[in-house]
Order: sequence, then structure tokens, then C-alpha cells
Amino acid sequence: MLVPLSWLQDYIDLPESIEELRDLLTYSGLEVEGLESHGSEFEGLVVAEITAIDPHPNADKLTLCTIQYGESDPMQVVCGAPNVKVGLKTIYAPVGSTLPTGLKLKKAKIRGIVSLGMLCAEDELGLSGDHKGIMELSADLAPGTPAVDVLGGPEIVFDLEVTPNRPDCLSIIGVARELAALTGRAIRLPETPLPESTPNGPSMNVAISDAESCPRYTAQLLSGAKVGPSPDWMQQRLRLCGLRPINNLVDITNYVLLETGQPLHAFDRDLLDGDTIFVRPATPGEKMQTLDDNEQELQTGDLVIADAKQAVALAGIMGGAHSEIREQTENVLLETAAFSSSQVRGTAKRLNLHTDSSYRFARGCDMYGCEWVSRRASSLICQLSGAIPASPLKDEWPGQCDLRTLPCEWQKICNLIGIEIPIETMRGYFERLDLQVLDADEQGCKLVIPGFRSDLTRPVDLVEEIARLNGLDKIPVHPPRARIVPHTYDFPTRFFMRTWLHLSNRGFLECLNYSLSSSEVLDVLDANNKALQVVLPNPISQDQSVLRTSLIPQMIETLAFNKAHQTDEVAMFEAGKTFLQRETGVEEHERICLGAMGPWKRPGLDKQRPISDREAYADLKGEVENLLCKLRCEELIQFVVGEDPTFEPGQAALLKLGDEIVGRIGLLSKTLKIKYKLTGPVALAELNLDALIPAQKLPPTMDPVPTFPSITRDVALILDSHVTHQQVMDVVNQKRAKDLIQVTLFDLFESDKLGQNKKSMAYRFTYQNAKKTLTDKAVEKMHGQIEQRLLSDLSAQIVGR
Amino acid sequence: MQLEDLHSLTSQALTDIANADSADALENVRVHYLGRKGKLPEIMAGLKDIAPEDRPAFGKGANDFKVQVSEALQSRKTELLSHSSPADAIDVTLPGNTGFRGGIHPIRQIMLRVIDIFDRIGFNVATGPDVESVFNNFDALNTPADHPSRDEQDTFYLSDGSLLRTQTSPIQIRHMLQNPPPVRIIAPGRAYRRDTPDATHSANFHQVEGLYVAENVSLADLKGDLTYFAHEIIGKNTNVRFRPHFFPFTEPSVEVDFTCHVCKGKGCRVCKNSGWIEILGAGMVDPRVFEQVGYNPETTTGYAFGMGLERIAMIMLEIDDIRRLYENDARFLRQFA
Repeated sequence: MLVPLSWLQDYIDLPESIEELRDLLTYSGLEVEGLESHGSEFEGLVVAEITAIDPHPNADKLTLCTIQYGESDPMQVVCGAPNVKVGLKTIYAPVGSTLPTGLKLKKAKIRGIVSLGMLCAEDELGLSGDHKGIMELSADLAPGTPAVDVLGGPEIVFDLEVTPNRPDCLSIIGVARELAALTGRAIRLPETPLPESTPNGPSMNVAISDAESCPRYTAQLLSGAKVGPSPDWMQQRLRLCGLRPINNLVDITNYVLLETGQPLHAFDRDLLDGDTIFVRPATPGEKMQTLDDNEQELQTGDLVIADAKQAVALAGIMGGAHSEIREQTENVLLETAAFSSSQVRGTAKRLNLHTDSSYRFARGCDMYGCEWVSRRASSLICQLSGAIPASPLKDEWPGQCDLRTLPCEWQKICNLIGIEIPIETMRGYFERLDLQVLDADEQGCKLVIPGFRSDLTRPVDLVEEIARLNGLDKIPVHPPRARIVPHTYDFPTRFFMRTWLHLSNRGFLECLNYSLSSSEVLDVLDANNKALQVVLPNPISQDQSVLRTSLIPQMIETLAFNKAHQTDEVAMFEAGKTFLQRETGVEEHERICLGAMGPWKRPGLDKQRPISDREAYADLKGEVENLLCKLRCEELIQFVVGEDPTFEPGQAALLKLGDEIVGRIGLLSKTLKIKYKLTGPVALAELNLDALIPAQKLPPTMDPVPTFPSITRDVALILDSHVTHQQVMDVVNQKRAKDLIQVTLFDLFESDKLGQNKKSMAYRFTYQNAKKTLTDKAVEKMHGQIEQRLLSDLSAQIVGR
Repeated sequence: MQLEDLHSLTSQALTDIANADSADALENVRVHYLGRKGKLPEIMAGLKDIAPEDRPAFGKGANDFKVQVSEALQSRKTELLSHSSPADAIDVTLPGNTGFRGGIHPIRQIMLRVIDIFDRIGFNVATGPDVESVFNNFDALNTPADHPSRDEQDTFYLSDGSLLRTQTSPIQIRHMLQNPPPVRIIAPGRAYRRDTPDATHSANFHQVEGLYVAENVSLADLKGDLTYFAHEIIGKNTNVRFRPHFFPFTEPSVEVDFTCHVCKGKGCRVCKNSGWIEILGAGMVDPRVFEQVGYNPETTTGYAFGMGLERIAMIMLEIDDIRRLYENDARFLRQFA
């Protein structure tokens, strides 16, 4: 809402500085979002008259305008506007002047012809976004008049953010009324002198079909109007508020709308059929040409203003083209009415027709104020167009009812604010807000709410009024109260937080991706869950149209993004939700995803050596194991050989908790690496964090620290290359000796020298007993059995045996 | 061997020790004089050939030899250790093996700080699903049936009529439906709005919601707790100001500004010369919300607040474009690690 300061000052004295006013408005709830000063930027710009027009020799769409202003010699300006004509008065920016947009004008050659300065359109002057043509000024302006005198002198314009509950502040008078309440000053409403209506003049009837959608409709018939431009002061104010002046009658309706917040509409009476205005629902399939020259197809839910023959306006939204004010209009029907906000909102939304009028009606307007507003506009029309009222105001008010009253309890208000305010003070605040105080005593009072305060509907709504008039800065700062609400430990959240912190400490950068992805991406990168995608029916764009089913796809995209931006070495994680469509609804899972590429785990002096797939996999798997250990569920999770379309065949494992798959890990497939322009091994893992919570073990109790020495035995096995480490461990664990406390793989070697498809794996077995020193003989017995099983079950050979 | 020989042997040994220039050389000297097949055993073996009357003096001389040589060896050993040879030197300015450096995402850092601060004044973390019911997200929060925020233009609806929550406020509703008053929760999470992405808008963003419901809660408590929050997250000299605002689920509603952390309130580019930065929205819980969750609106009071984490991260970390937060460029993330 744009509010020129000088306009405000018509209604209230404001000795405050601009900064004080900004704070006053902001503190009262009308946040000043912007503060513009107009006028000074028009310096150097003048009114000029086009005296001759010649075609541009080198361009069809350009013309050579000769212009004259003040004492100057005629100047030649190249202009591209379609509306140039001889005799037109417009704004001219001479060479050396600067436009409000910041453009400094220089002598220029346009398509080979010298152009001295520029003729301006509204957008170039920062007045509006209009670039249809150069400005057309009133013909009686003298060439050479400074532009400031025409476009408005120095002026401050506040841009206010009006919250949806305060439609009354979508008007200059409304803002003045707020300032009056805040400062305790009075406001002055303009005088509304109106000539006597012609005796027995023509009149108009009003028929309202439904009081709910139209509680009040006033119609004022004015005759003898002469259509012409509105006065400069009105045009300037309209422009400052972002509206384009059209003619005196239309400008007055817009001016009064801005002034009072009450939308009005002016019809050309002579284009209306019959002598009754009908306010009625549209008939199914009814069509109407609106002022914007669009044909609207209406429904029964829409409310129209109609004459005897047809709909002539969309109630509260836009007038019809048919009865629009024309140059030759003489008799005017001025509508000032109240329409239901949901009615207007519904139709405006359906037809996507949002106007200054529908905006205000949709938020609610003051039916009690219609009569004064109508009189104000009629008075201006009479003054500025020479019209006189043809008959007294026709005022149909089927929705008339008393003003709302609210009970108020003084103490409740103070309690909710947390400050004691004297009753007399509160009473004074209400009176400043135009709330009438009745039956006041020590407990409370009854308040009559003025029509323009549609937001005050419940006693609780009064609290804010007292709080802000008393000053929100006066509310004391109570120290935080002690912990009085015992809670159970918010375990899952803390569990997740621990994983984030652990992984970041282990060297992973946390990334955050959108929860929304696309089926294009997910179909390929999480093919297993293709059938379980939650697809949005109304996405903003295709790339954010499906809730992610896995974190891995976006991790791949993230790694690819970084690779494309010269980051070859990175380890990242993301923690977040994934979504699967089940028959019972959407299932949400808390997951964690790891992704890494490059020598991120190598020391700085060892980064040049190529990284094998095995190393890349082991680097990431180690971190998954560390995490599982930290979360105390390592022992329950099995890594089993698996297949996954995202991963290269033979380079993927599934994480299993019992029979349930709780995660996956592997190296990105070669095809996907090509697709995403990734090189070198790319390791990825994903875990279902929520599935791990129940698997978490209790914190450990103490085991005795060993006091007797341990004995180790090293075994180098020659195995078929397909035999896995897990298979070796399974054999060892089959009948695990009770004193075998540790088995570690310490060497892995593949070579044809070992025989075709053979490899060597060397393990160190550590034996120890908590109660005695083991003898060589005892160890030999336990170890011999293990070696025996390895030889027979895995067809292994033992080196040196 | 005579006593005089013993004296010359001692001085020879001390010279050898002094000349030994490495631990190995010194060890050779030790073995030569004190070793099992060295000079000392030789001396002791020669004792029997000494005239009986000279034996005490020779014995003492032999002992002096042993003591002097041992001490000299020890001190030379220490000396050699303290002057390690250039061959053992390392370039101590070589970079350390830091490993890859990780870090928490800036939004998450802010989230954790906010949670931690409210945790200290008795708020417990509550969470809820991203896919919510219309009731929890709108109806129970007193959003009018034809409120624009309910439009398909602004909200992502799923085909079953549920929606992606447009705010973290439904967590309040869930929590109050399951717990009688008093409650005091801090609720972080993602929220979704159909905003076309630009420098300050993202269809997917993070919020933190706070709710405190008990008897006799007032705006002064809200101001007190938020002032504490401001002091903890920005600094002791931060002030909090309330501006009246409007939200359907609170009455009265306020927008809350903190003193600009850059200029300390003097006015600068970051705060657009106002000295204040808008940080969150808040208010006293509307009685209609209490009705919806089965609390007695006559006796229950409470406040609620909500803040956008992207906004706070952008302000505090001076991030120019919200999309940077979701681009996951390692060169960006590492700056905050």
C-alpha cells in the first residue's frame, strides 16, 4: 500500500520527522517496507511540444520528432513510440539530464541520425511499468514547464505492509486514523458539499437478490457531467500510488477508493437499459465483456450487477466494457456498495481477475461507510465535472444491523500482556481507536466496534489494540522460567544428531538437498522404488515433482556437481527423510547417505597413486562400520553380497539386520558414471537410521582387562579367488575356540604366481585366556582345528605347510 | 699390568669416549673397555699376578677405571642424544595428516544452536511428519476456510488429500493433542510452499517452532524467552523489539526483530539502515487453537513462535542467495566446516 505523505497530511497534522513516522507506523503494525522520495529525480526534465514529425530514413518503426520547449531552438529527437503526433505535449529529457531510472542522456546517433535527448514513457520516468508510448500531457501546458510541476514536486511515499486482518488500512484515511489513534490527535475528513438535486429528476431503482452477498448497495445518479482530464493534483496522487490517470470520472472513483478504501464504480447511465439496477447471481453460461476487454464466462456462484438486459459489472471486481465511461458520457451512475468478501474472493480467484477493488472487497469492507463515500465521490464529480445530482442517493441496505459489541475484561488484557495498565488509560486507548466504551466499571466494559474494524470480533482481539497503543516496547522482559515441564528424553532426535556430529567429525561434509526430486532422476537412480514414488499433482516444476525415495540419487547429483566444479576429492553425507507411497499412506523414513570420491582418506603425500575399487569401497565401508559402532549396533548388522541397479555388478553389498535390509553400499556403476561425467571409483552408502534405533544395544558393562599374555599365530591361506573374507570368517566362527579373541586379515595378495584364479589371504589369530597363561600346546590344539577346517571346507592351502 | 698401565688405559678410554661421534661408535668403545671380552675383565684377570701387597691399590685403581669409564660413557651418551645427527632430522613444517575435513551444514548448525539454546530453558525437541493432514496444518491452526495459503497455488497437496506441511506449526497441534498442558517444545523440521525459487525463496525450507503453554503465560514471558535467545545466539547486547502483526493462530501476533548484529543497531546495509533485523514471528496462542486440541481456552494461555532457518543462516552468515544452501558446493560448505 503506497501512501504519499502529503496526502496523509490532508487529514492529520504530522509534525514528526520521516524517521519518527516510519517508526510510529512500524510499531503500530503497519510495517514500512519502503520509503521513496519522488520529485527530485525529475530535475532537468521539461514539458516539450512536438512541432513536426518526419520518417526515419533508415528505420520504419522510428520517427524524427522536432520538438520545441521554452526558449530553445527546435531539437531533433529520434523516437520509437507509436503515439507521436504533432502538437502532443510530453516530457522531454534533454542531453545532460538523468532519468529517474539512472540513465544519463548523451548526444547519440540512432540508426545514423543524430538524436538530442529523449521523449519519455511512464516507465522511463519511474511512474509506472507502462511503456506503450510516450506520456501524453494535457494540451494547455506551456512548453518548457519543469517536469516537477507536472509530475509532482518532492514527495515522500511510504510503502506499507498491511496485514490481511486490517483492510481498513488499505486507504489513506485508514492510515491517518491509525496515526490519530497512536498520537491522540484528531483527524479531519474532507468537506463533501453537494449541490441540491434536480427536483423530480430521473432516478434509479436497486433490486438486491440476496442480502448476504450484497448487504448494501447505493446508487447515485449524476447528470450533466463533462468528461475531461482530472486536475493535476489528482493525477499526481494517482501516479504516486501507482495508478494511471484516465479521465476525471474514472480518476475520481480511483482517488476515492485510495482515499477511503471503499471501491466504487461509475457507469454511463445512458448505456444502461431500464431504470433498475439488479444485483443478482449470474445465470449459468452468462457471458460478459469486462473493462479489460476480456469476455468472461460466468457461473451461478458469481454475482453480477445487471441492467434490464444484461450483466454490466462483475460485482466488486470489474465493470463491464458496455457501460464504460466514454468521452461523451453525460449521465453517471455511481455505485458504492458492500459485497461479501468470500463471494468476491471466489470469483476473482476463479477468473484470475485481481483488481484494486476485488483486493479490498476480498479482505472485507465497511458497509456502514458506503453513504459517506458515495457523497464524497459525488461531491468531487460535481466539483470537477460540472455534474449535479439527478436525484437523492438510492440506498438499499437489506443487510443493515447494529454495530458489533464486545465485552472486555480489564484484568484479562493486562494478564495476557504481562503488564499492569490503569483502567482509565485502557479506556482512553479504546476511545482513541473510535471504539465506544459503554457500561465501564472496575471489572470491564462493553465496546461498540466501528464498522471499519472488521478484525475485532472476539474479546481476545482487543488485547493487541491495548498492547500496541501502550507500546510493545513497554512490555517487560520476564526472565525465562525454571524447567517446569518434565519431558521424556527426545531419543530419536538425539540419535540423529549424534550421527550428524559423528560423521562431520569423521571428515564428511554435510549436504542438504531438496525433499523433492523428479521421476526422471529417481526412475534411474532408485529404480527399485519406482512403484512407490509419491508424485505431486501440482508441482512447480518437473525437477521438483516427486518426493525422494532415497537419498542416493541426489548424492550422485551432488558429487557430479562438485566434479563439474573442479572438486575431485570429497566425502559427503546427507541425513534426511525419504518417502514411500504405501497403501495405507505415505511412509517417512529417516535415512543417512554417504558419498565419496577421490583420495579423501589418503595422507596428503599419497594422493597421486591411483585408487583401486577395493580401496574406495573399503574407505567408505570403514566409515559405515565406525558409524554402526558409534550407534552400538555394529554386531547385529551383516554386509551381504547383493545387487543394486545403481551399483556396478559385483561391487555392491546389502546391510541386513536379521532378514530386514537396512541399507546398501557399493560403487557407482560405470554407465551412471559416464552419464554423470564422474571418473574414478565413486562410493555410496545409505542406511535406514530409524530401523537401526531398535537394534541399538545398551551401553556396555565392564569386561576384565586381560592380565595374562596372548599368543598369536599367523596363517597365509591360498584360496580360490571367489572365496570371500566372510566365508573364511564363517568357517573360523563355526566352532569358535573360546580362547580365540581376535582374527585379523593382514595381507591380501593376488597373483598368477599363486596359480590361476588364486589369491593369498593372511590372517593373524590371537589367543588369550582371562584366567591363565596359555601354553603353546593348548594354542596348538585350538589353532590346529581351525586350520583343519579351513583346509577342508574352503579347499585352502596353507603357505609353508 | 701395572698401576701405571691402568692410568694410561683410563686416559686412553676417556679419549676414545670423547672421540666417539655416534651411539654405535660409543657402544664399540664400551664393549672394548667394559665388555665381557674387554679390557676390564682382562684387568681383573691380571689381579692374581700382582704382588699381594700391591693388590689393594691396584684393586682400587681398577675400580676407579670402571667408575670413570662408565660415567664418561653415560655422559657422552646423553651428549650424543642431545645432538642428534642431521640424518635424523625431519621437516617439521611439512603439513600434517589432517584427513578430509568435514562439517555440519550451515542450516543444520543454526538449527542445532537454536535447539541447544531453548533446551537450556526447558524446551524439549518435538518432531512430526512432513506429510500432514489439512486439519493439523490449517484447520486446527485457525486458518480460515478460504484463506489464500490453502490454495493449490501455495500448497503442495498429495492425491490422497494430505499435504506437505507449509509450516512446522502442525507439530504444535500433534503435541498438544497427545499431551495435556503444560507443554514446552521446540520443533525443527522441513516445510514446503509452492514458491518459485529465487534468491530468497525456496519451495523447500527449514523452520523451528516453539510452543509454551501453561497458566498465566504472557507476552512478557515471550519477550523474556526471546530476549534470552537473542542474547545467546547473537550476543549479550542484542535487543528484541516486537511489532504488531497478524497470524491466524496467534492473537495478538507480533513480528520480532533483533538488533542488527552487523552495525549493533546503528543502521547499515544489512538491516537496510533500520538497525533491526526481522528474525521471527510469534504471538499468544489463539483461543481457537486451544479449542481444537481440547484445551480449555478460558484457563489456558501460551505463546508460540516460528522462525525460518534459511533466513537466519543467510543473515548471520551473510549468504547472498538461498539456493547456495542447497547447491552443496564443497567450496561453499567447507567455509562453514
